[in-house]
Amino acid sequence: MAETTAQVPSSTTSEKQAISAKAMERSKELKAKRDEINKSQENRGVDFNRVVENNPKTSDFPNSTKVKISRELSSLMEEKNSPKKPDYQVDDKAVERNTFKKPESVEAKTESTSDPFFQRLASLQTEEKPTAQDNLRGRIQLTPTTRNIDVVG
Amino acid sequence: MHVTILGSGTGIPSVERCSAGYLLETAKINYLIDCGTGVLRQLEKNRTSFSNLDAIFITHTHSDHIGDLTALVHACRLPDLPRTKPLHIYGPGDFIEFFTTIVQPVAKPPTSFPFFVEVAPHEWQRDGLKIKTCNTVHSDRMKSIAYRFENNAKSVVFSGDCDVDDEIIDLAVKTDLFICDCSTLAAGKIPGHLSAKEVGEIAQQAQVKHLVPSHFYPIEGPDSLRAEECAIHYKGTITLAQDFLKITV
Repeated sequence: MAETTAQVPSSTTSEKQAISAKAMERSKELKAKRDEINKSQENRGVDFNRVVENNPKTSDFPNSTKVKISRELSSLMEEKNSPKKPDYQVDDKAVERNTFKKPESVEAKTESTSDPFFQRLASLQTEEKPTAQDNLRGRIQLTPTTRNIDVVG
Repeated sequence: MHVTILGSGTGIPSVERCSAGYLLETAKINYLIDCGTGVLRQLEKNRTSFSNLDAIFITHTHSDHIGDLTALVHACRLPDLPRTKPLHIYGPGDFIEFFTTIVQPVAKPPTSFPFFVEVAPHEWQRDGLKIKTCNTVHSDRMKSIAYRFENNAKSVVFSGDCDVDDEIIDLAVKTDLFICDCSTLAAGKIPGHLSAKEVGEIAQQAQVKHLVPSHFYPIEGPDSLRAEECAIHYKGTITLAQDFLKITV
């Protein structure tokens, strides 16, 4: 079987030093380039943490931050915003339909127990606490083991 | 002022109700109050582009109130977005930390127009509107606030998620429109949220002119039960929230 492992000659000390120096130089170049990029990004960008503290006026932003408007996108947005017609069917009767019509003389009927409306309300007051099934319907019940858990939404 | 309900739902996915989001418009401004999951698409369906928003007001950082915020910030980096006006995002006291740790790693803030992330002050003015906030009782793990917007002697209050507390009553006093967390009926009360009974009591105490219960968790029975329960305690006008419902004050 033929020998497949190549013998790599070991570098001399001077060669090693030359390679090291070249790597160092390259590393410095890259660092300088990276610093330059970071600096230009700092100037271009808005550091919101700084903004929060300083709360500068709009005029504080350099003109270079003004956006170049793409004609295609701009016209698309214009078309979208004018006329301002929603993408759903406008329901003019929604407010009227959703506005609660009080039953006549609510106060007078409050004492009544025969009215189904108040019977239903009374049953709500005495209803048992939510079950596990209720939790599935969206009711959040804090159990002793999860009482420190956050309420949801 | 015109209010469009973009999301009257909660964190529980629903065909009928998107997560929390409300659009407040005047002739001059487009404000978004909360940006829950799906709200960005609701805005588009309403033909109010995200690129035209002037400010976003976050009540707290539960996902059904901020779920689409990352998507919105990401969309703001769209190349050649036709926008030069500033965008302000306001939130409760812990909002900067939330933005830094949750939103920013996923969606870098836009650099092509002025972009601000701020903790909402207790009271301030912008765009000719007077804006007030108060802390609400909702979660032990995060801060939450409610907003009141006043313009031309009219006012709208957005409760965010809250439980019974004097501060929300004070903020809602004599408001023209009160859009209020009404998660459940009294029988299914969730701590940190208001039941319909409590919503009615708060609205009555605050002498609210028009009450819009919103943020509906599923309940047994029709949603009209919420209005009926509110009406026992509140004598004013009650309109149940519905996605894309528009109310002018």
